[in-house]
Amino acid sequence: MNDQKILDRILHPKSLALVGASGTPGKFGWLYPKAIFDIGYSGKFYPINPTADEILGHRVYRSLSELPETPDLMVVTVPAKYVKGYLEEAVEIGIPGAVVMSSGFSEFSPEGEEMERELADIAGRGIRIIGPNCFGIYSPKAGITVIPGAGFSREAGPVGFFSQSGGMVSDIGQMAMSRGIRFSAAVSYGNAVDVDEAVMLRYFADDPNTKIISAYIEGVKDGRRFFELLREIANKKPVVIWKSGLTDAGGRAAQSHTGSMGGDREIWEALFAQTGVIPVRGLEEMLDLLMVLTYIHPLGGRDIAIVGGGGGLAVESADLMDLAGLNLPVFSQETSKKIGALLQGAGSSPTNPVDVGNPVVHASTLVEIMKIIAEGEKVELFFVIQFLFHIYILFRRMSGQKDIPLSTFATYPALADGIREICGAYNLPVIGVFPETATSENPEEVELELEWRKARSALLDVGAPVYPSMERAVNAVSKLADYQDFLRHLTGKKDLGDGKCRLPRPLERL
Amino acid sequence: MTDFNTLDRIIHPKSVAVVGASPTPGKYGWMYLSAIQRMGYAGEIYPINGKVEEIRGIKAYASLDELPEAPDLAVFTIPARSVPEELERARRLGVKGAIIQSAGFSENGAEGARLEAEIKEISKKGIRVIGPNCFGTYSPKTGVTVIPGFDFSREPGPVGFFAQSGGMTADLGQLARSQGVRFSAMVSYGNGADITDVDLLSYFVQDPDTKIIAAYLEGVSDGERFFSLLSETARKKPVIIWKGGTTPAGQKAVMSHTGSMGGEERVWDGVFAQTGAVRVTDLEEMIDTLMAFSYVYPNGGRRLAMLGGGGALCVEASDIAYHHQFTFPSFPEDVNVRIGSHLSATGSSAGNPVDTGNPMVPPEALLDIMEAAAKTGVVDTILLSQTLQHIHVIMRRITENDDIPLSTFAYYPRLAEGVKTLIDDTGVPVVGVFPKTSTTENDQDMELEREWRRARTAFLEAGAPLYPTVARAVAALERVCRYVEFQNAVSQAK
Repeated sequence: MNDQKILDRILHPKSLALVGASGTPGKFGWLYPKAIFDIGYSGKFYPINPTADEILGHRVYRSLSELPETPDLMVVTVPAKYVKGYLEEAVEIGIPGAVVMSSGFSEFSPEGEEMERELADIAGRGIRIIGPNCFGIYSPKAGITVIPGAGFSREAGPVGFFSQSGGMVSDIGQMAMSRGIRFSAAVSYGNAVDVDEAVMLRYFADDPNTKIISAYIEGVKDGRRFFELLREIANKKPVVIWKSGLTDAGGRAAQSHTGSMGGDREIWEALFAQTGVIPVRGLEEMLDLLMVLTYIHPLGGRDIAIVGGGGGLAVESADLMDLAGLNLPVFSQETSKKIGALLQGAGSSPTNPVDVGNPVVHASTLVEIMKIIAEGEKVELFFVIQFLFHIYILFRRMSGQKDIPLSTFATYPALADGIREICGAYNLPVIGVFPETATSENPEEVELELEWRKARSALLDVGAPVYPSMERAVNAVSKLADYQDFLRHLTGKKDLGDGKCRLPRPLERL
Repeated sequence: MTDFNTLDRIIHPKSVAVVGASPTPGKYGWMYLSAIQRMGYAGEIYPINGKVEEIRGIKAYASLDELPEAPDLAVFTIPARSVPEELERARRLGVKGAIIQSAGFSENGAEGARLEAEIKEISKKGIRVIGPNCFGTYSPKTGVTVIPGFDFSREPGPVGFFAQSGGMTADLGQLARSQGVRFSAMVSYGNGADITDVDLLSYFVQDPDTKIIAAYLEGVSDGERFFSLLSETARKKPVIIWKGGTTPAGQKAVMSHTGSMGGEERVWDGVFAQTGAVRVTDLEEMIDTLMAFSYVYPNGGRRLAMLGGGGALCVEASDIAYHHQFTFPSFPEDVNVRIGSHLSATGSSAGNPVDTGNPMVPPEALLDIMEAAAKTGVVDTILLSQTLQHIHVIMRRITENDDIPLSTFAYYPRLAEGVKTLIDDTGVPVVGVFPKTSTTENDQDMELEREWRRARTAFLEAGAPLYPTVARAVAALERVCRYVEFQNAVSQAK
């Protein structure tokens, strides 16, 4: 079996043995099966424990040799010193892959380092090892997840993610939920005794379900090999990388975290520039990029029309766009005249950025304005700014009815319908910018937060990413445009796709 | 330049006439009235409206001429074309200050510009004007507020803010409430026909209630005067400025927004470098920075003790802090041992930054680690980053009972209490970071959001700012440190 097939099997196991399974709530050996059953794992589950009889309703086995079949995957949560014995047994019965979650190896002590070398030897004998010191695999198609990943999405999607850090997989899986980012798989490989960044990069490059590759990297074992792989992938799939530990202090922290070496800032930056990798500097930014890659790419571009409210925001947007190399094309007089007819005059502006002035302008007017622009101007992307969500609270107060829900005043369903229309009729993607201003703990503002989140979901359902600030939206769009320019240069092709807007499936609501 | 007392009377009026007051919900003249009533304004209110006897329970007057006294302030919400005549009427009555909220002036073409010129002329004859095309002023001490500011905090505080943009003032005031940032006053001055940036900067530097000055500027009325005043002011009080419209595209947007001229990016780079004013580039940075100044300044320094949960978070924090020229001093061995005694043997790290590894470290342990670090004498600021959200959810999972409210597991009250003691005892500021990871609209995530907000309130009440990301915390803290260094350099030069 080649690497790809073996990894495929490990990432999509039909049967799974858990060494260190526990009946004690709170232990890793208890949290893990709980998490995978929560997320819908339906394969065979074999808990291994020398004393218990039943764990979470499953029959317990004393050892691997007692199992009725050879499982596709073995997950290990026992203390470091016992790991080796189980792995040797696993090799004997022919288990193709193991996830070693246990810590206490090279990141911890010289003895741990020695034990880790022994694991490496075992890996050479026919079993692929993910870890040690990791959280393992999240793979929604197979229904397995990392320990803190019980709440992750059950939907599979286009993003393949890998990271040494288990906490990072746990955070990205969690944060991705509400942003409509879905994964083919996410793998945390810890100290990388066997499966490492190069193995994962290769796997995701060849995996037909993965369209976008992303990674959090503290260090790489074989820089040259990694670089060559990136170069090979450059024209196939977008790759987003957060490389941390680029400073002395960060490098030191990385050393004690996963025991790997950091590397020089200049080298990494040059490497990214040559291979078209989209560099990001934190988890928020990574997710911001994964949103435009999931929903906008290969559409989008540098010519943007902004429609929305709040003049200060229009000024800010214009500044940000200029600095980020995006353009706000000047509208023809005819377009401005048509837009002006829909606005109230004083306090508004019918040029690009279109400032509707009055924050109470209804979503349908915003949609009308976008249609006028789509008909008459050459733009590649819309930004819709819906300002002052807070106005809902004012509406409710003015209505004199304290008990009606704020959702009564919500305009986002109309906005989402309009976006769907624009997407279908003009193949122009839309990005929503909804600044958040009401963030106290009083029930009214928590209710408003709920409306904000529902608005985001409503727009994601029609393929429009939503950002809480103009700065983040601009950054994501400009980095996407940089990547697309790189692609055009590399391939010599002007058109990156069929030019059609895709309408995604509505997201699950858990 | 406006003298302090005149402006002070506009910002803290004992009586207000609202010209254009309306009984119709949704009209500006209705919103303004209801907003100041809601804020608890205790002075005299005189609604001016020719058609009704009473608005919102207050006797209305048909005209300014009928008022029993000349109020401290007249606020105008009537259409632009009627403003000059009414303003002149107020001036003749002896009113010394006006806020013109109405739009439709120089930002809106030639006819508007002509009306604005008329206003300017009238103001020179003895009535000082804020606006036109603005939302007015907010001053919690007095109980007045900007039009959409009905929910702003009623507590006064150290920050004096001014902006041309009313929307920006409204957003910042709204955002500030939950983030523990409190104001002496906020002034939105729109097109700045009369009172403008220089007057307001000069007002806030003289105002004893204002300890921190902040502004959103699209353009300045007189660059040279503003620059010299700024450089004088920034030595005395921190001045935090968000300058919009520094690029060609931004300048074009400025023109149609408040009709003022912007100024180039590199010119402003120079202004910030020379005056010691603190630069921010968006609303989020503004609020983050104000929070840091409100709670950390005048303390704070670049020698950090970092206490992180989750290794990658630690690596990220270290990288970010390093970029911002922070250092992580090593602790003495006995301190490392004391810290180590709280941590599980594997998956954690006792050096600075401290990686607590296990997300479920009890608050007592976190507090003891922080105290140990604070007392080393080599630490200026403590950065505490914990994955609060996971802890709550995991703890509930362990009980296998989803009906127990997450607040049952909240440990932030104990943590915040300890943080307060720590800050009081050692004088070392603590900056908190609780990353938000679960943000869908489902019940559990909404419950987590509520807990997060409560945790922030608890921290703010303990005197520690709290941020959702390390990047934001460190960037805000860095601005405080840079300003403190600037002030030290200035005082040494003397």
